[in-house]
Amino acid sequence: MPGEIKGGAPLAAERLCWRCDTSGWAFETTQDLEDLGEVIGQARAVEAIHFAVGIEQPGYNIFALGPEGLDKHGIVRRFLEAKAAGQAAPADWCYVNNFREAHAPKAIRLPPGRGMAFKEGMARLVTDLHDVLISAFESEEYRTRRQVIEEELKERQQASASEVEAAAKEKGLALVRTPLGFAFAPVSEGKLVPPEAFEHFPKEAREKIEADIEELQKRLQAALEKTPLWIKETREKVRALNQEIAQLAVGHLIGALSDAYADLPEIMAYLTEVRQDVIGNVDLFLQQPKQGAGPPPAREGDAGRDPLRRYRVNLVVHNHAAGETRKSENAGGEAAEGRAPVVYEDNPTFDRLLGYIEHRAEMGALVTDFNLIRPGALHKANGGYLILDARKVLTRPLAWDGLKRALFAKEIRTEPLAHMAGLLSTSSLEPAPIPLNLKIVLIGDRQLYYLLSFHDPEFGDLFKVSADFDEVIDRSAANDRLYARQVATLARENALRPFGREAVGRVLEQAARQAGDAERLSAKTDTIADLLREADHWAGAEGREIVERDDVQKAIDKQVYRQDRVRQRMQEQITRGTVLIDDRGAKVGQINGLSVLSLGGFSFGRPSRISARVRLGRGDLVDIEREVELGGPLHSKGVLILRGFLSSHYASDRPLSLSASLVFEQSYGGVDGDSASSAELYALLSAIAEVPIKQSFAVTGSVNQYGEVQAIGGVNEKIEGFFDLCAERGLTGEQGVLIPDSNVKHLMLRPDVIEAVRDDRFRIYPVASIEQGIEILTGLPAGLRGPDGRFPEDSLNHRVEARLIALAEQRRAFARGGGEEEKA
Amino acid sequence: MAAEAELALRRILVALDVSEQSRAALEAAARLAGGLNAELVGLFVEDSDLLRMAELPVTRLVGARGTGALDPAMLRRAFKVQAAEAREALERSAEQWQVKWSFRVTRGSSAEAVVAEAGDFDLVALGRTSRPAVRTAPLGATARRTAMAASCSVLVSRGGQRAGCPLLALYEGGTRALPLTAELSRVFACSLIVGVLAETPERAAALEAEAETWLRESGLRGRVERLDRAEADAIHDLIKRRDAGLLVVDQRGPLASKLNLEGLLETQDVPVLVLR
Repeated sequence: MPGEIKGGAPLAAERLCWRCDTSGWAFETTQDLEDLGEVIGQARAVEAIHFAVGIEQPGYNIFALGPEGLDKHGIVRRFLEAKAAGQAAPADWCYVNNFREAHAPKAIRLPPGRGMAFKEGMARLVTDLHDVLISAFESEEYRTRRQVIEEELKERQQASASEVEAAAKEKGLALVRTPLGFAFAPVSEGKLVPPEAFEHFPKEAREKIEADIEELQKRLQAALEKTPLWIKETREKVRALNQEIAQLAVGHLIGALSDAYADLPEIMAYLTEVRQDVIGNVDLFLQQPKQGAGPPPAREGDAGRDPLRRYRVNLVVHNHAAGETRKSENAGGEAAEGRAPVVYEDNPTFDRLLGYIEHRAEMGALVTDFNLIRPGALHKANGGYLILDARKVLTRPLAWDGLKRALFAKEIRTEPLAHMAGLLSTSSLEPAPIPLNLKIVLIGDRQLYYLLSFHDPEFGDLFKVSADFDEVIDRSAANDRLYARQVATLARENALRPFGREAVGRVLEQAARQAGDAERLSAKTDTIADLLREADHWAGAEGREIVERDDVQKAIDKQVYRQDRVRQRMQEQITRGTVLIDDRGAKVGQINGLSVLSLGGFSFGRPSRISARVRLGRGDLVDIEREVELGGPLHSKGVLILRGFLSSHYASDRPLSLSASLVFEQSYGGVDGDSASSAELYALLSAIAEVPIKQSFAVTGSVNQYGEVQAIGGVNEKIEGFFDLCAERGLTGEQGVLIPDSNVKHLMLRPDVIEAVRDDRFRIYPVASIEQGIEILTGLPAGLRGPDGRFPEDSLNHRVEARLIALAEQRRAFARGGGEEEKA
Repeated sequence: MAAEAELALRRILVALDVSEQSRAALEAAARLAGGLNAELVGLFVEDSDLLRMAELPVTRLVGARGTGALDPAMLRRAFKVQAAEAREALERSAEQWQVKWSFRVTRGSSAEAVVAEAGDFDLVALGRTSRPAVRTAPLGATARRTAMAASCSVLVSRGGQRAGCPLLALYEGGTRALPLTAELSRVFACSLIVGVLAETPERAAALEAEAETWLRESGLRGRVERLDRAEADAIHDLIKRRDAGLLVVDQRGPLASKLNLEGLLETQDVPVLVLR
């Protein structure tokens, strides 16, 4: 490592935080700012949506991915609404009875806005048919013609009966009808012959009567055999008459309705079927009580047994034609005023996506018909856009499968969930599928997107476009101004007080802190909106009309305070001496490391003591955390890198002959990440060189095999974690934190930390290499190898190397002695 | 007009069998009983003639499938079944019209049994014939005999009384039948046609005027029509012309008493109420 070791100077207070420069802003309060119509910093996602919406090919559905809180939903929705406004309303769809196969209702497509008229037209037709048919069948003409037919039957019956009766009379017999059937009996003087008298008849007379009766019985039987045939003939004649009468009454009414739909062949075909069905089922109309204006009103609930349900129209999709005004009660999914629908389904179950078939209880059985087919979100959004939450779709049983099937088949097939799952073998209804053409926007987090891409081979075919939302926005003067307008927009949307210029500046600073980067702003509008609402609340408590910087600061402080309990208890454990952390003095092999804890969206830093012990050994570096499985793989990796550094940096011509152990003291949870690896290396070097480390410092940063210190996450929280501890114990001016040089741009520290640094009561050192760090920590120069390849005498590196060489020598001597023993 | 004993129908007997015409009679009687707050008694007659006939060794049942013996025990069981059925029908109708009712079964020659029972009643209602399909005579033996011989009023039905059709009452003076007729038109919720019967045109004109006045004073919907002859076919024509639903004849009237009642009952399809 040639050249001098540079650095060692603490950061100036100005570099610890980006302070928003509001002087260039031309507004006083957010009232002076216009609403922000565009989306800032999401160019990639916006372009993806543009592209997907514009391309007219199947499979170009959108997965909008990104963390929660970016208002993905709002952005997508606003975008789709704007696009849909320029598109024509899609077709209306209705289900009607299939008169041939009632279990397979037919779907009919109508131009937008005409579905309702058709439904109402059919309802009126049924009412009119009812009236007209009842009148027709009560008319004198019909009654007379029917009586004539019935009379004919009677006459035929009577003719054949009276023939037999007359024959009987001639022979002194009577035809009598008993409850059990016809019988012949002898008559005398108009009265039946009593049995006693009959017995006194001469034998010949009795036999003659018997023979006569037998003959008559045969004749009567022959006549009776014809009766069922005559009855059948009569019934057919009555049916023909009924049809003739119905045809006259029905033809005109259906014809009038047909005229309005001459341009729609499907409706015309349906009306032809209706006509035939009505004529064949006149009884359905005649059974209904006549109540002035036709059958009872067609309400869904009470009409369970209304036999005229078969002529209803179940309008499942109802759109509005261009220029048509929207009826207020018809809210829900359908498109307003002649535009494509944009539907969001917040409970995307299988049924609510694909529609479902209701059943009603009738005489203890569940029955259904085409009137009980209910539309799903796909029906409502057909021809437009459907927004769904990916997580919800995936967690509702079979919803994802159902959705994919519909998209692949490009049709909506409404069937019971159990049927789809193969649990139900009897299907009550199989409605005709409705062609599907829409764009789906799934909204979800990135993990879900990658999981789906990885595990579901069909996902990529159906959701070809990913709209990847970024959680941070690059900071620039232009973006800062747009962000200020975003703040203004949010304030207005939430009906908040106007924010002063300085307050907006503070909001931006907080957005940068949330992004964990002084050069970025957080895109999570919902947490920003929370901050605005809370600042507005505190401004109100102060009686201010305009929200000031102090109110924003107070809102931030209060947010922290509300979430601060665990952090405070942990710090108490340190200040009360339960957890041992020194913040002054110097010790060999001991250093303060820093870690970050995240609990429920609140992150804070915590110092931990790291210690290292060294003895003669075979070059093994024992990571105690790893031995007890408290350390994660990243931590182990960091420790192994230390070994690489040690063995290559010092006395590389000798075997590493020490045995060292490293531990996070009083750590009972897991440790992961390599951000403590530089701290561990410092402790190790201190232990090897037997040089004490100043305990007034805490250290963070990872290290590579060359001894370069690398960036870590959560730098702000870590610094503040150690600062809070020192501040409580008393700031001495010696205390400070060593951070990786490459993390300086992420600094967005709290005002009190900056204040302490400004007063030189606390220091933050940027460190690029281990040498820089160790100099600050020990006060000794690290030392660079001279031309002779040796470190300077008084340097720390020299001490380390000397000790390692000494250990190696010891080991060799030890090994030689051991070898002799082995020989002996 | 001289005051005469008012005609009231307090107790109604309905002769029941299982025929359609008997059902029509029951329906009319129950409705009348409901409207007039009268008591309704159902009568089922087990025909002793048939039972005796069944004892004849030569009697055989004839059906479409062949012949069989007519067993008296079987016949008695059949009567029992029919009686139960008739009773049920009576109960249903009585409940529908909220009438006090009772039911009795008697044995005897049908017509005689009905005539005998009718003695205690103000009105006897029955179907025109119980054997519509076979009998060549349009008027059944029981109905004929009862209409002729019963001392009380008689209601003979063929089919049901069609709702909304006007009621035709024959009128030849006297006040006896008029209040009842008015009551009937209220019970059946129909308008009234007063058919005037008279020997001379002068008498007819006077009667017409009288009837008009009465209609007006009673506040009844109706019209007055003159019958040119006191004969069944003239009445029949009027019924057809005005689409009347019920015919009311007061047999105490001098001209009505001379009417061929049997002929009238044979030709009419509408129910006929003969007041005595």
